Amino acid sequence: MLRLIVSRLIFMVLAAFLLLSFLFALFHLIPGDPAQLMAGDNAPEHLVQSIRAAYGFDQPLTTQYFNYMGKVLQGDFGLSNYSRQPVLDIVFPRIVNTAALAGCAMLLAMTTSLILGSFSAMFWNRPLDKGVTVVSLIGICTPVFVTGIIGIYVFAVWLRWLPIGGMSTWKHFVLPVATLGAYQAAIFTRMVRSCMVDALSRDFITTARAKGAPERTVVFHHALRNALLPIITLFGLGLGHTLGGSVVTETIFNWPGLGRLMVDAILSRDLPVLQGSIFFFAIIFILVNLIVDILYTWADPRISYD
Amino acid sequence: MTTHKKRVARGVAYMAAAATINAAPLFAQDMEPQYGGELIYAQSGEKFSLFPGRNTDNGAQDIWLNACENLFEINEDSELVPVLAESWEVSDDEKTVTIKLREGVAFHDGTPFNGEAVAFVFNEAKEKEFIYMSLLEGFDYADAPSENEVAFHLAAPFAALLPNLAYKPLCIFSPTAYQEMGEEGMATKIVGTGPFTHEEYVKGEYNLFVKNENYWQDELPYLDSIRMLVVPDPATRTAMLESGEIDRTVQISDFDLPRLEANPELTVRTMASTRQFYVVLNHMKAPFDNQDVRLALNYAIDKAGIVQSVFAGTGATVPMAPTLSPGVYGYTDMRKDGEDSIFQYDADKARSMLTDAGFEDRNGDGTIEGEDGTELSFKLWTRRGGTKGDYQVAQLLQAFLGEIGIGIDLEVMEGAAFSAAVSQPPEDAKYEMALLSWGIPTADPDEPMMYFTHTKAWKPKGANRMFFSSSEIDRLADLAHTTTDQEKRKEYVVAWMAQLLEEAPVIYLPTIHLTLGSRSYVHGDRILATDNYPAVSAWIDQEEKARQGIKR
Amino acid sequence: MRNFLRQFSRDRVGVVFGLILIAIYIVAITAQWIVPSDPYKTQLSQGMRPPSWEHWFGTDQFGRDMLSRVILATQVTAKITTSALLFAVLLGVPIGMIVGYHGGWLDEIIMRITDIMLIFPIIMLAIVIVVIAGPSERGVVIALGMSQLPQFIRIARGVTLSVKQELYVEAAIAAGAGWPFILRRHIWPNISTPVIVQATLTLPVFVLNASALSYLGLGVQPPTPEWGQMLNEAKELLIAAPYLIIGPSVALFLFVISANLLGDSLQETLNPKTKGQRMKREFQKFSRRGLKPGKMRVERAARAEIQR
Repeated sequence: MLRLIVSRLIFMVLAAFLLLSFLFALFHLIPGDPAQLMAGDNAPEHLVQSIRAAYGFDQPLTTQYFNYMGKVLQGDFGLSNYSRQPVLDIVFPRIVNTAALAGCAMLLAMTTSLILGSFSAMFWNRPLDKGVTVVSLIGICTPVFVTGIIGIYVFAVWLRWLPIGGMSTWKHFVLPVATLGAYQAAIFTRMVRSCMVDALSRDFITTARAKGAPERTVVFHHALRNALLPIITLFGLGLGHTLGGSVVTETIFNWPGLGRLMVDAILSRDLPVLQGSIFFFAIIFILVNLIVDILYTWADPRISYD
Repeated sequence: MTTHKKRVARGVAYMAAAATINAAPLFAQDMEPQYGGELIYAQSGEKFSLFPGRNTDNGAQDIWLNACENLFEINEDSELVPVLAESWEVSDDEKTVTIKLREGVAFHDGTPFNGEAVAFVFNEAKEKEFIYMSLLEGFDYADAPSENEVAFHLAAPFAALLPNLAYKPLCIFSPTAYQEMGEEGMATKIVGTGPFTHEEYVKGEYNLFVKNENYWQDELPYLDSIRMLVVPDPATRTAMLESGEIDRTVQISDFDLPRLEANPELTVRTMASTRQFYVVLNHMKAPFDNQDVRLALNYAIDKAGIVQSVFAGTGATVPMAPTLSPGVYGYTDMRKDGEDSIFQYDADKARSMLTDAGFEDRNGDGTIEGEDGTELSFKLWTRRGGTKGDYQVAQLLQAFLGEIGIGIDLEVMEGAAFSAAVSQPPEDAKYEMALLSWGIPTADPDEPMMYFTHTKAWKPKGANRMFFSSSEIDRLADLAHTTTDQEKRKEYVVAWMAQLLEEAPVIYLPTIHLTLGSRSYVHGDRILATDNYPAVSAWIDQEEKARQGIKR
Repeated sequence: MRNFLRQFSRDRVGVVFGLILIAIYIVAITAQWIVPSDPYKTQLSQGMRPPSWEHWFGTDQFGRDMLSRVILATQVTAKITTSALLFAVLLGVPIGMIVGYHGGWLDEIIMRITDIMLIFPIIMLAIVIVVIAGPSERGVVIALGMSQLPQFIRIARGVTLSVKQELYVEAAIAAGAGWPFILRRHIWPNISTPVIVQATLTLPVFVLNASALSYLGLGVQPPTPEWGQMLNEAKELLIAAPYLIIGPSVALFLFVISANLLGDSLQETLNPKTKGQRMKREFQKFSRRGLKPGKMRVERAARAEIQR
């Protein structure tokens, strides 16, 4: 157990290190003078000079590399090209907003899929099961920007029930969370169903049934508990996936999250903000990954890692 | 120096005479303004800087005008009215203009507003080459003869000084705050004397302005606060207005107007403006230094088609004169007889002009080449949603120029990057073509003549992003700038426009109408021909707001 | 082959959607000739017409026929996704075979890099790569191809590792055959089936992500039509012309669902059904989207769970 955590931590550090190298390379992969890129196209010459000196862009590449590492490890991603605020100050509130969106979407997806998946397995190969299968298939094949636009048209423009844009009240959460959550729920439902079908075909289920346990107990007590292990992993993996989906969802609904910040930074060529948002997204993915691995081993000690 | 009050700015006289292009204010005059409440105003894009010395973007002006005031203002009737100024005198040689300032005014940081502060702002502007300096061509230095006076010392008489001082970027910010925070600090926090103080800046989300309790006009402002949201997508803004999530918005798609106008809970105001779309051609790059090519490009664009399909036929008008629009002094219809716009659409003519200039399709790939075989294929930079219809106009330009064999790649940039990228000096400017729009905030031709096409106005100083230089056009502009004879001046303006039609420094495109949509409980807010939408005197009818079921 | 076809033809869903997918590809290949009108031709007086017999999906703001644009977009999407698949396969499979065969430090490095890449969702990888490659068709191809490279490296490596231990391969090595020969002659034939299955399963993922990139403005640029980009433009006119979202949405959905179902069927036919197969497949599919380093481990774990 301890060995696992240590090895995963080493992996994490390695990943973070590669990530930083990549971000450093970003300066040199994107054509142009790195100091000018950092400062922004409109920056006066004295500012470009001071950045060149501060980041040592005039020094050899290796020196630059270590300097950059040092800066980033101190949390210094520089200033936004345009608003001239520290990147950290811009990114942190956005992380909270993205977490709120992804968290709610995950909750929605988990509850929906557990309910639908279990019932689907319970009524295996019956009309209910087939209906759920078809609906979840449709869900998987419809990208969030299609569901989002249709949602906006129906609920905001046509019926005028729900607001769009921003996140000031709970009503603002409904459409983005439903859009992102529904897509995730479709994926989860299929897998929860598979896990449950599998669990229900086991010998101990037959035994339980033979003992005369009611079907509800069989499904929700015996089968679900046994299917829970893969399902937990699945949800863990799904969290990373949901965060990825939030990029598009945030753009559709003008959600002030990290994903939209990243897209805006690309379209506005704001390299420091772009680096900051990539870095924090990546750190979140690495952390999620670590937690899933540890959770899984903890839940089932028979799994060992090489 | 004469001591009697004299109207130096000849601009003022004719501006009062100029056609009033405003609709009458729609708010009920007989209603008593109510205090309190927050106004939520959604705007298009994010601004790269809120520091007036570095940004002349109209959306940004709408943000800082809440906090930062000018000496003068041009009102709805295109009249020049004093704001922070009280009166002015001009010396006999017309080289010194002394402005008496309002007393008892303080900046938001508590420092006094006085002659020294005003002089500092303009001396600093000259020294640091603020973006608007070409508007003050001839300005030498400013000083403070007394506590409440500022004197502008001019190298040469300068007709449009006062109307130019009304241009929003020339607002008076606090020198103390500026010295403490620098330009960079001011980019996100503007400190002036205005009715609202700038409380919060959240990048990409909103700007919050809170009532200035010490405002020099005792009754004002009515609102407790103004929250300005960044909502890039016009359809989203429209839907937000309809559902009551926001109180007002601008740059609405013209296709949505009939629906909004039919809604009794909304007020939609539309007015003609001086805002004309145009395509910057970078004359530093071949073949845009070739006058024949530029003329051909102008003929290739179906201006009426753009008005029809991007602006629903009602939201814009075809250009009838280069750069100037009705309402600007000296404006004259420059169309040829029987033509619907200047450079009336004629693709065949454009093609043959290009052929005559040595550009034709030599290898049969559908794109034309010059004599040395280089393809006429360019990048067109544009914003998306900065000004209504910009991205759609860019797509149509791509289609029209494709028709005559010129390849266009669109490069879409978010507002801040775009403003920055088209504000470069000639050696750094990377664009070949860029779609922009141009308004004349002073309603005076002096601004476009000195700031737009003059050789002295090359970026980064003015707005001559084409790096266009014509001795004849400069000569006419200089004559108009210094003459005191109004008839003569008008003659120069017309000659200047005629010369522009000869040389075609840019591609001329339609002039848009301005639209302001607001909830019907918002009163007292204004729409100016300068494409500004000040909400400083706005107030909210709380009863009506509650009746509409809007709880905020 | 005949055996495969006989088995496959029994799967009715697979056959139907396989045919639909073939039809989509025929439309894509013949797009230039079957469009009812020029998809680039603007007719400003015919802008924003609702669907009619003449224009099935209506016309856009500039009077361009939406049906024609949807058809041409099919070609654009098919071209991008197929190129991206080729990119991933042609680069990933050789790398996987070579590192699998030789092992050692190179194998270790490549595997760690793929581990790290698998942490990130495909859309995130694609966005970052497209920033470097530039927002264009080519940029999308590179971004998608690169982001799925680890999958193909892993598959090729896995097969290589197991085949290498077969007796006949060991015999060939003993007989002094060079490694290029062994890779080509003995290992490649075993790789093609799993690679084909993986490619079919990757196709819908590519379609979804290519249009997501274009929706964000980072992919295909106008005037070239692309479904995601068309939907983005339709969103601006959502109030005035809601019908503009019909065409691109329907086409996108049809492409993705037929590719998905065909992938399912192919996998079922090519890999004979075993206990837990279904579960494994779900996990594979999930990992394609969710991507994580422990993919193999989770599968193993899931299998362990099933097979106890």
